[in-house]
Amino acid sequence: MTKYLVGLILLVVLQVPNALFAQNFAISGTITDAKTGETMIGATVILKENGKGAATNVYGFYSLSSEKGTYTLVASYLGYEDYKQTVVLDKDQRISIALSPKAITTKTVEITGERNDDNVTKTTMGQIKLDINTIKNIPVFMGEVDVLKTIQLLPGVKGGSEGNAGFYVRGGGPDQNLILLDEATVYNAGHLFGFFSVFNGDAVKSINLIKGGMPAQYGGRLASVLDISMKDGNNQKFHGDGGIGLIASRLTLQGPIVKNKASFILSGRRTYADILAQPFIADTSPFKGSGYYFYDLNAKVNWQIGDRDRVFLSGYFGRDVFTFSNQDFGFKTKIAWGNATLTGRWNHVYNDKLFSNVSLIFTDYKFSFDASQAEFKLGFYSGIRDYNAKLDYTWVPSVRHNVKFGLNYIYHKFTPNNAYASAGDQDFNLGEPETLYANEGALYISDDFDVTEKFSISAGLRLSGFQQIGPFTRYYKDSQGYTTDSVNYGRGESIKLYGGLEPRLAVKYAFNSKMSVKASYTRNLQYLHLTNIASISLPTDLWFPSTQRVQPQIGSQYSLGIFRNFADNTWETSVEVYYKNMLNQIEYKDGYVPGASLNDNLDNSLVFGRGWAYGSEFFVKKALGKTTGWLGYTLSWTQRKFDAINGGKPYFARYDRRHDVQFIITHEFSPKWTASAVWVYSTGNALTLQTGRYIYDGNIVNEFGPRNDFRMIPYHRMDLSVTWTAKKTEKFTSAWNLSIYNVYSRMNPYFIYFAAEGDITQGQIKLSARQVSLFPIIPAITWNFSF
Amino acid sequence: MTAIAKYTNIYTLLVAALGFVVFQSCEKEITVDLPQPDPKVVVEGYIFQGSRPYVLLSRNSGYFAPIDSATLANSIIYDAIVVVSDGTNTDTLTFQPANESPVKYGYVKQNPGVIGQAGKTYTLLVIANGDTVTSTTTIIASPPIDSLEWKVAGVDNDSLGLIWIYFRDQGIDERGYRLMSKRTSSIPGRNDRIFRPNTLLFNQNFYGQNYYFGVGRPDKFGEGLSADKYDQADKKRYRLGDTVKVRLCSIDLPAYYFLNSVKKSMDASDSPFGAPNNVQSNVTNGLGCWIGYGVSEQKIVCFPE
Repeated sequence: MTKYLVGLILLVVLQVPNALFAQNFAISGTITDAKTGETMIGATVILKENGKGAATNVYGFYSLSSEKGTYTLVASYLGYEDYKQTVVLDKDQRISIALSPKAITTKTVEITGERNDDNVTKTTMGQIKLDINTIKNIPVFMGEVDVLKTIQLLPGVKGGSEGNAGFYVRGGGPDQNLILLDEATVYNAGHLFGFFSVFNGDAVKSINLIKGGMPAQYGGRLASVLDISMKDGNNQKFHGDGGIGLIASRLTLQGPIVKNKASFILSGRRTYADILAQPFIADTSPFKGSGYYFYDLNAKVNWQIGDRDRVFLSGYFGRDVFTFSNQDFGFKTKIAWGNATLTGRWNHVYNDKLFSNVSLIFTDYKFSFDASQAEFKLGFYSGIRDYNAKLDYTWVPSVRHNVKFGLNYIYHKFTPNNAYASAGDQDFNLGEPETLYANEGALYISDDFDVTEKFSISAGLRLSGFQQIGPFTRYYKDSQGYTTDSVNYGRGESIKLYGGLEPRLAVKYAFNSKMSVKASYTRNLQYLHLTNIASISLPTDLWFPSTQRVQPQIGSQYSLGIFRNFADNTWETSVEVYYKNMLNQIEYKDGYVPGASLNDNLDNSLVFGRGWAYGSEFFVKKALGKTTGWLGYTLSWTQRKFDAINGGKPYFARYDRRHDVQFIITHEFSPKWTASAVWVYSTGNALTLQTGRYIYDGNIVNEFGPRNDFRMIPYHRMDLSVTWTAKKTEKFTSAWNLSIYNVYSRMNPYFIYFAAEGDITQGQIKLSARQVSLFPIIPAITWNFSF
Repeated sequence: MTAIAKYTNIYTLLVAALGFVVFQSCEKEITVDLPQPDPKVVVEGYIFQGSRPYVLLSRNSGYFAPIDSATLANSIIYDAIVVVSDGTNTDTLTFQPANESPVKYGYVKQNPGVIGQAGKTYTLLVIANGDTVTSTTTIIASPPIDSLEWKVAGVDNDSLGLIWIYFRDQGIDERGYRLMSKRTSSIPGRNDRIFRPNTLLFNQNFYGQNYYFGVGRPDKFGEGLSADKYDQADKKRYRLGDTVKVRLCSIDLPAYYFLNSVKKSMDASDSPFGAPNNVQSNVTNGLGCWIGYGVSEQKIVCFPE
């Protein structure tokens, strides 16, 4: 299958030079928001006379070409006034456009032809762009706008557990999502054990989720890409946004450094439960000194250098800090974790058909744990650090082709689990920290090729490779766990090399502008793995590279969909089916207990298997009008099979859900009043429960039954929110948001545990199953302002 | 050290953290329909260096099967064939009173019999209920205890403390250490019938190095003392004036992995983060563990130095 696809892709790519011989002229430029100067992602430009068009890329750049002639160029973006210009196309030319936001009116949003039909007309499948303003209107937990929780409201995307920002796409694990913030990988996107995501809504410009048909410029993950772009900063005037909520407050400042040329944005958020709680904890309490907080900082500057170049520097820094004290034992601990990213980018327009971007990216995720009691100190730390260089080109040789090619290199440093300990002056030698190093690289090329007006192909090929390098010590263990041998590798020495081709193919046949069918096939290699010992995602989960023992994850996905819009694209509908196969999945061995890694490698504790998932997704969306929203339904199955788990029999993954329903509705009653409602339903989580027990050493020891054989009761919940814009002038806006989480206070299960009460020595023990629910009805109010 | 050992379990801390940040939660009893487990023989057997082997056999049961004196007694297997061999000598053990064991009965052999010796491997064969269950364990010689020291621990009382054990791992092989202690004071209520296990250590963390560790009084993980019956006032510490024997026991890796996974399983049993964690038994075709202990021992009277 793969070799035929590679052949087909090469055939498509080789078609590209033919396009060079046609007598075409190109129009290119950028599209920006006239009010803020922000570049607009996904804005469309069409030539009205022949319907040829293009959309802006992530940097707001577009390029299209057509035969010599006179055309009406129309640029449009939802919520903005159309821009029209007559163009005499007799040479290549640059036309940069600033679109003005529509004035707020009570009349229904104007609908123009050819607009908002991307879901039908684009070849790509399984891609969803979310506008940050849409997200801000959806009811939120504790008043905090949350990108990742909104993502969970889309078909094919499942949340982990109650309130958790982690997500699972089409049967893939949480490590199989590539989460990018300005191109930098975010390895842990959750605050407060996942109840909040690390993305501050005020600093985010756009969110693009790709859950199937992943284009060739993306790689390194099997399931999805969540590509989040930060705002560039207003280059017209100084501007501020902020909010005061129940648990956190935030402030964003942005403005021009040089008007029309350079701007900055600075955004911060911090929780304050720890500060508010301190006065209520008595000085005599053994837990005095315990607390928790998190914070985020986003910053970005950009500079337009002439007509052809633009540079960006953006960064994110966030931390969760949990402190716990027990003064009875003189015990203190501090647990801290968080991400840091830094991205430098240079956009260059070579000519009207060729655009490039160079990125240098630094990413760091750290988890640390420090504890002390009297003279004893101990702790451990883990993390992952990347140095990443990318070169991406977009070449538009003709209106029928949009070619992307580029290369990417990442130097990875993994510190999976390292410990230290000391007692007074004595340091215990816990050995050299287990640090793993690796090179990862990729080359790619893809072409979006409109073969005819109705039929188009998006074909891509990615060649990726991964090399684990020294220094490293490999420990070999026998079946009882004793070390039988060890091999030392020197600095830079190649330990293991993996690589492969990743063909990507999507085809579309449009019956007309309202209806199309699409199919796609993707093959992905993933060289990184997330080891997870708990039943939910935790900051202690460890990123681990492919090694001699751990082979790269390989995923293949087939999908087929039909897309139909109604009433001039006011209503969008689709049905997609998919099948996904995943090789080289990892789990910990039964009975594994985390510990120090002296004279051992973490991967000696792993076992390997495969997974597969299939399902269908139904989606109805009302995209335009005063009432908007969507209804999604997913019917799916997700299974795993490991020789060393569950007696080698297949079992359902923890996040296998037979049914998932999401209903979201937003209504604008007036410019001052907007209300939204969300209702979600899903089959209960699969989990493994004790089925038997025995007594050992006077204690009850549990025997677990078949893996994930038990289902919690279904999850469902309704949330409501109302936004009242109390004041809106050119200089100041004040809005109140009241949200109610879990309106009918459904006691959804968060976890189930078994309690033993009584005294075994007296032969009186009562065992019972107990269900814990986290959040009943929770109202929250947030005040948002901008100036 | 008791506290630090407890709280260095990151999952315990994370559970505490979750409880700390979630301001409201709701819990209720529910009914779950659990399938019955396959019936298996549970082995609780050990052979200490210098002592005879001891084996207690029982059956597993359904999770919600009643636990009372009658059912506990019924779960004990009285009529099994139990054979222990050191490769040269073979003994058949019989079910009888055994005062040196936690439950005061089990499969033992009176003299003459196989006596635990460092460096020897011991095979256990059990035939019970039509099942044949086997296991092996090796007694590893324990390094000598360099010294013991009693020091006040905690901020609330200067008459309670931990016993610090000083020893040197010889760096010979990978092994676990199980510390055990027994109060031998003549004062009523301040002596123990048998040695009770305390801390479990892995020499990976101090391979070939000097090491010292604060030993508290064994908690309920040991002899089956429930939390409410345990002497809470002493907060798992030794009282000024106590006379205590401390044992440094070496165990092989399969035994270490078993005991460690039992502890982990118990820690995780009521945790939302608990992964399903079947313990790593060294018993073929059964559950439980057969453990050889190499022993070093010293006595201390608890007074500050």
